[in-house]
This record gives sequence, C-alpha cells and structure tokens, in this order.
Amino acid sequence: MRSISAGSDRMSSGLGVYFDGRTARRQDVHVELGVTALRIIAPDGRPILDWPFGELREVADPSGGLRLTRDGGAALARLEIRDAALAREIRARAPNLSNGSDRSVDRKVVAWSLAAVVSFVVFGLYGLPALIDRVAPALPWSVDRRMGEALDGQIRLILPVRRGSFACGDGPDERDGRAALDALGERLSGAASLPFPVTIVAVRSDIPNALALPGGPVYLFDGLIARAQSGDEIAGVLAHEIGHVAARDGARRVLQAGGLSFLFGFVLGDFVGGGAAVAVVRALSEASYSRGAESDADAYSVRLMRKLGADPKALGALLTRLAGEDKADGGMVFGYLASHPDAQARRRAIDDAAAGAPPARPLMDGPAFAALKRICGARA
Amino acid sequence: MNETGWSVGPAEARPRFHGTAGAMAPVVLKGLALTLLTLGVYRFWFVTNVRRFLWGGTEIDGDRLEYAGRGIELFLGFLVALAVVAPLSAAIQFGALVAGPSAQAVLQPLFSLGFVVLAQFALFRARRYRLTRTVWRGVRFQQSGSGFVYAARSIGWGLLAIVSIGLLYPFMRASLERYKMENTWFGDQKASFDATGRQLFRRGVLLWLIAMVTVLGPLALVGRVVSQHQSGDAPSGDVMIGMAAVGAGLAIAIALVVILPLYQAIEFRWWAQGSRIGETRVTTDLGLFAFLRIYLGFGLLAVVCLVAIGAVAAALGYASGAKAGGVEAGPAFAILFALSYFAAGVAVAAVWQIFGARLIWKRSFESVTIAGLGRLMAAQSTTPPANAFGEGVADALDFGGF
Repeated sequence: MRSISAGSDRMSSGLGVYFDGRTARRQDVHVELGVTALRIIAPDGRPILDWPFGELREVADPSGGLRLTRDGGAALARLEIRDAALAREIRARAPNLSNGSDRSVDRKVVAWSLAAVVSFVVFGLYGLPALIDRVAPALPWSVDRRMGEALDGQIRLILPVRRGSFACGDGPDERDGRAALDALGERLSGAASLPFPVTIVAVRSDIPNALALPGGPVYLFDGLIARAQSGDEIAGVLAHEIGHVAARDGARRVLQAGGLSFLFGFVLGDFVGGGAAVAVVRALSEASYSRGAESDADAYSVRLMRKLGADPKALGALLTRLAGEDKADGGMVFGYLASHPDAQARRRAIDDAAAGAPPARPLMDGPAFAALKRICGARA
Repeated sequence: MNETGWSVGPAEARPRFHGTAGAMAPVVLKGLALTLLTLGVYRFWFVTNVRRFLWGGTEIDGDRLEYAGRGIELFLGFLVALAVVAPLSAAIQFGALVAGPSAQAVLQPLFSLGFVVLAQFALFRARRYRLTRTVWRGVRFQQSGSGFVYAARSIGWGLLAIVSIGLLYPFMRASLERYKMENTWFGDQKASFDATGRQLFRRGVLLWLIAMVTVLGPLALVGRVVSQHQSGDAPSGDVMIGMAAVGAGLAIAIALVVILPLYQAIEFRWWAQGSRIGETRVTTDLGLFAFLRIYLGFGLLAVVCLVAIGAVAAALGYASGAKAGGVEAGPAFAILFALSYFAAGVAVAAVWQIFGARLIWKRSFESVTIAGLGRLMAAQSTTPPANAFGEGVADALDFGGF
C-alpha cells in the first residue's frame, strides 16, 4: 500500500479482490480512495467502478478482512480488502458501513422478544383462564364425558391397587358397603342436580385420596374411607369432587394445559432447555389455577351439604386430620394433600362458610357407615 | 492471473476450514444464552450466526464461502409456516374432544400423513433456502425442482425401505440425492449426480448385516428368556426378563452409536464422489472412522461437562442445606435444580456445536479434492433467491439441519 500526500487530501490505494456479482470471475484489482468515492481499477489501469463512500456496506467476513458491497449496486458484488491499513482507512471514510447489520438487529430482537415473553406469561396466567371461564360452560357435556372415559381407561391401567378388582363392592362381604355408598351417592347426585347422575366408585387402594374425572365418575380411595370418622366426612369429600365435575374443572384443565403448551411450546418453539422453561410456567399457572378451583369446590361442598342438612364442617375436620397424620409421618406430602395444600386455611374457610348452619342430621347412620368401612373387604 | 483478467486456479483445489473452537465459542455461548433468555425467539439469529461462522470459515481455492441469509428471514419464514402448521396442530390437539373417537380414528392418520408430507416438503425447501444464501465468488447457488415431487419420492421410497428392512435404503438415498443434486445450480451451472444405489448398497451391506446381528441378537435373547419364563423353567423370571431387556437395550444402543457414524462416513464418501457441478467434480479421502471419532469426542466432552455441573450443583446444594439446618431448604433446592438443568442443556448444546457440528463440517470439507475448478465459470442465476418458508416449517415441526 502506498500513501500519497496531495495537499490536505490523503490518497490511499492498495490491492483488493473484486467479484462483480454477475459471474464467478475473480479479479485482482487496485483500490484507490478518492475524495468522495472508492475506485476499483483493473490491473491494466482501466477503471472498473466507483463506489461512493456513503454507499459502502460491510458484509461480515470471518477471516478478519474487510468485505464490502455497495448499497443499491449488484446485490452480490463484493470487494475484499485484505490489507489491514487500507481497510482501516476505508472504515474511517465510510460513514454508513454498518447500516442494516445484524448487530443493531440483535438488541431489537432481544428487547421485543422479552416483551413478548412477558405478555405471553401474563396472558397465560390471567388471560387464558379468563377466556376458558367463558368457553368451558358453553361446551356440551359430551366433551367432558368423552375426556372422562379416556382418562378412566388410563387410570385403571396405571394406578397400583391391592390384589383384587380395581373397583370395590362386588365381593360377597362387600355388597352392603356398596349399597351404603350407592345410597349416599344418589342423595348427593340428586341434590347436585347435574344433567346426569354421578357414579361413585370405591377404589381398592390404600392412598388417602379421592378424585373426580371430567363429566362423571368420582373415585373414592379405600385409604380415605379408612381415615374417615363419620359418614358426613365421606359425603363432604364426595361433594367437593362433585363440585369439580359441576365446575367443569377437568375440561378447563385440558384447555388450560393445551392452550399453554400451544402458546409456549409452539409459538416460542422447542430448543435447548425450552421444554423446562415451559414446564415451569405451566406448573406456576396450574398451581395458581388449582388453588382457585379447590376453594371453589370446598364452597360447593359446603352448599351441597347444607342443602342436604348434613354437617358441612366434616370435610374440614377430615382435611386437618389428614394433614396432621401427614406431618407425623415426617412431612412427606402424598395423596389427597399433594394437590390440596394448606389444610388449616381451608378448614377456616369451610367453617366460615358453614357458620349458622342448623344442627346437622348425619347422611349415614351407624350401620351404613360401618358397612361402607368394609366396602373393600378386610384391610392389610 | 492471466491477461484476460480471468483467474485460473490450479488444476486441483483442496478446501480449508479456518474456524477454530476458540472463535466459535463466543458465537455459540452468546447465541444459546440469548435463546434461553428470549424463550427461543433468538434461535433464528443464533442459527444464522452459526451458519455465517461455518460458511465464512470455509475457503475454496483461496476464496471463502459467504452465508448471505439473515435471521429476520428465518423468523418471517417461521411465522408464515406457523399459519399453516398451527391449525393442523390445533386440530390434532382438540379434534378428538370435539369430533369424538370415531372421527378421530379417521382424522388422526390423515393429519399424520399431512405432517409427513409437510416435513419432507420442508426439508427440500429448506435446502433451497440454504443454497440460495450460499455465495462463492459473488455467485449464489440455486435449487430448482418441486418440494411435493421430492416428498412423494421420499415417502414412496421410505415405505419400500421399511418393508425391505433397510435393504432398499441405499436406492432411496440414491433417488433422493439424485433429485436434489440434479436440481442444484451454481449460478447458471447445473449440478448432477452419477452415484448409484447399487454402489451404496455394495459399500453398506456388510454394515447392514452387522447391524441386523447386533439388533436381532439381543432381542432374540430376550425372547428366549421370556419364553423360558412362560414355560415356568425360570423361577426368578421377572428379574431375568428385566435384566435381559436392559442388557439388550444397552447392546443395541452401543452398536448403533458405532454403526451410524460409520454409515454416515460411507454415505458421505459415496455422495461426494457422485456429485459434480458442470465439469467440476470431487474426490474424498475421508476415513471410515472420521465421524465416529468426532461423535466419541463429543460424547466424552459432554459427559465431562455434565459431571462437572453435577458436582458443582451437589456442592452448592450441600452447602445451602447445611446452612438451613437441613430443613425448609426446598425452594433453594428447586432453584438449584432448575439452574443446573439449564446449565447442562446449554453445555451439551454448546459442546455439540463446537466439537460436533463444527468438526463434522471441517472434516467433510477438508477431506475433499476438487478437480476442474478452473473451468467452473458461472454466471449469476436469474432465478430470485428463495424464501424461508421451508425452514420455518422445519422449525415449527422441530427438526432442522445446520
């Protein structure tokens, strides 16, 4: 590279490689820096092109040299400057070299996608549940029942039970318990006034749990029957589960989970660790959502029990007993409590809602409750 | 340089790749971090930067490749693809609930077929995007042909390959590569492909036999244990079946880890020697074990990273547990677990990019000798560069190449 001082104007020139963007011809050229433009000169001294400094754009070149193109010229025309001093001089003279480069885009992408993530999270936590609140009641009940049937098959397949059939109540010494449970179920179902009768199934499992499938069957685990001290405690739990059925919580949960995985898994895409990030958001939203659903189901239970003239507070008593037993076991959260945290607070809410109820008439008499206790036969 | 100004290179050229691990590390780590931070939105720019690094580090006859794609193009392609894929996906997710099980039985296979067609279509179109963004000496590559024709070929041959337990797979590869290469252009110079399925079959059939033995052997063993158990000869049957199944799975996995990279090398050698552009053709001296070594190195490094992260997490967990007196440390452990999970994910992905993908790229290019490059004088193609729809579909369906 030579540098010629001509008055105050410094002229620089050096070697470059030029591709015209029309053919794959490689031309070794001279590059001269004029006052307003860079001139590309063929080896025979014939000028090929003038590129004004203002129109020069840099194209990323990982080899560390300077790769130029001209804004508005042939899109793939390239001038490569491998001489560091000449490259420095060109950088100093070309004002718009980095216009439209990806570096400025980077910041915009990050800022806007963070904004999008925030708005998605807010929508997922608040907007989506609100939307589902409107949609779920409008769905036909057949949707719930279909989901319930599908879930029913899966649960019967994967849930570990004691030796014997999945459902209790078919053995010769289990029939009385079955009759007692059916009678209780009929009264609760009748009072709930759903468009279909709710069937209640006693499950041969020692886990203290109960759960409602969408649109119907309620599973009452033998482990919970074993820990109940009155028929109204069982009735309170069943009323709570019927509350889930009436509120369409199963359908809501599926819509919520589907909507969230659609929102985060699909729009934002799958990538390293992305599945985990989505799982965190889902767990958060599910937790906040299920807290609301649980207290609604508790309130429903209180209303239903009052309607039947039974003891609405029995549910709270059972809850705190389970929680106490759980603590005594070393704090292992399991069964009914896993998805139903903070028994004390729930008991207080139930007691508040049940305040002023007339004296209760138990839904089950002593012999019926004793029969129910034996619905799954002898316990291990 | 001669007097016409046309530079005529040497008769043979050997590409070189200059991208070092040290130069790639910042690109990859920054890209992965931003991808995580933006819950994935940055991935289009990340992929673009990685490609720019790979392409730009590749020198052929003194001049480097240029990747002219942009992140925003991939992003737009993804948005357009979403408009197509999202309704399909929503129909699959919620269709069963609304339409019932019988309609679902009809719709599910239909949608699945739709996805397979779409995926093959996308593969072809994504290749077109990448080719039209690949520039060498100021001239871009180009791809003609139809994504649907490719999808039809791919699915037809795929069925044959499955039915023949892989014996027809070489002919499938030949058919698909021929279609791709015969529709590949460097400017106005058409590429072609003259390797045959029979050649690939001859080179791969031994490996196929070994694969069959290593997969079927352990399975047969499991079958024997199961039948013995059923006839009541083995008293501790469940344990035996479990052990046999685990052993068989392990044997098959180890065999595949060795066999697939060997096949990949065989196929690359076959492919490279069959490809040409105009009168320019290539030979390769890629070693049979070249890719296997890369995969093993990647596996080793990944394990080292995971062990290191696990050790750090365990030490931190122990320290925080001790501080809290052993109780009520639940949330701290959860955060620690989440952090080490993300760290592990980023570490493995980064190691893969830097010591897996980069080295496969490097070995592939540097194993090649290009003959007749001096006669490769292309004029710019008049076909405009392709859009990124195919890349978008590939991304939406969660697959994609470099």
